[in-house]
Amino acid sequence: MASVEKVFSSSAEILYSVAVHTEKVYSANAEVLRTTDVHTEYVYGAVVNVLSEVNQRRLGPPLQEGG
Amino acid sequence: MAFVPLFFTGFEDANIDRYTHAGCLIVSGTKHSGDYGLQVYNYAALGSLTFSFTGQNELYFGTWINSSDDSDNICNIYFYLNDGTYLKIMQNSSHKLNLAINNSTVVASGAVQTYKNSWFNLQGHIIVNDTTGLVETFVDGLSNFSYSGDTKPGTGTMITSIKLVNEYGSLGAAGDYYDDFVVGTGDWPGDLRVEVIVPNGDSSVQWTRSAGATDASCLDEIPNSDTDYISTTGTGKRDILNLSNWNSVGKTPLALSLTVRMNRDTANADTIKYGLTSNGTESTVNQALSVTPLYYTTLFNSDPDAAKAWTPAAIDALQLVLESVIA
Repeated sequence: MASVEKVFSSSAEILYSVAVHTEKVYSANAEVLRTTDVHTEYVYGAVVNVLSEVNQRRLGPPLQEGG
Repeated sequence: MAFVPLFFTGFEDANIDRYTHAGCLIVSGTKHSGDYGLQVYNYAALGSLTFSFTGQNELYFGTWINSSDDSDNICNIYFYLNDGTYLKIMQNSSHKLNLAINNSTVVASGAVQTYKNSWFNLQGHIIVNDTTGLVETFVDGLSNFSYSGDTKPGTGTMITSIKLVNEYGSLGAAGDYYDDFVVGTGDWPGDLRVEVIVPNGDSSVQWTRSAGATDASCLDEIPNSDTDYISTTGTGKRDILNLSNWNSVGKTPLALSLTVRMNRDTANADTIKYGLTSNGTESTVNQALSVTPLYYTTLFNSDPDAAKAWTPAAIDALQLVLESVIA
């Protein structure tokens, strides 16, 4: 008599480890491009005024004592 | 005491925009000394020009005047106090100079005759006080009037400005002329004249010129021109410029004033140091600036070299100093 083997279901449970992926950032920086704040100064002209007394000619009252 | 200047001009730099003015011209045809004088003229507005200075309870002044018309009030001089009241010296149609206080009522009549189209010297002494005030004037060395009493019409105690006004009634009228105007303290000024010296060569320069062969050539125009200039974007940049010699024959130097026209391009704390160096001694003012070009003036009543009285040799050896101060 022939033997018959039957399998009606099968299952397996798999135990596995979850691989943890870690990302780390150790530093960050940024370079900013900006315009240099240039200040400009201008000079257009210069004069020196000289105030003088005409010698041997004095109008008005005489100088005060000590003048 | 000697006369100590607070302000003076012979209009020799020909820069009328240094002053608050209307209906005035710097003219070369009618002047008492030098190359230029002031015409106070009712051309398009009531002619007037104002000098401002540090307020004084007592001052002396002197000037040369030439009136070209016989009308009343062609030649009026207002001395404004710090409350807006005034003392006024006014010329009448007889060419005499009278005094009024805060109105046009004559309180002291002038004794000295002056003449149309003829220069005369006016000197004055003013003390502001309720009871012991004084306004005294001399014309060509002769006593004109002396007023004693109340010269304080309001609460103001300090004279802070002098306004030259042509109050002839209609526009287009003849003008009056002024030259060599001085204001000071201590004593009568005497017969004073004003002349100018200008940059005439580079000693050492670190600024950038807009045109020409020297930095001095960008700054030497009379009247001033903004067409050429020197500029810098760096701080601590110094220009040392030589100045022309002064013709001292027959004269004794009393004081110098340096006027420089300058600006910065942005509103910030930038300044310019400007001044003179005399025999190795430098004296400068650290001047805050506007973004528009303006005139700045500083007085040198004595030689910065050991604070001595000025001499012709010291003036001839002077140099102009400019230094940028950029934040």
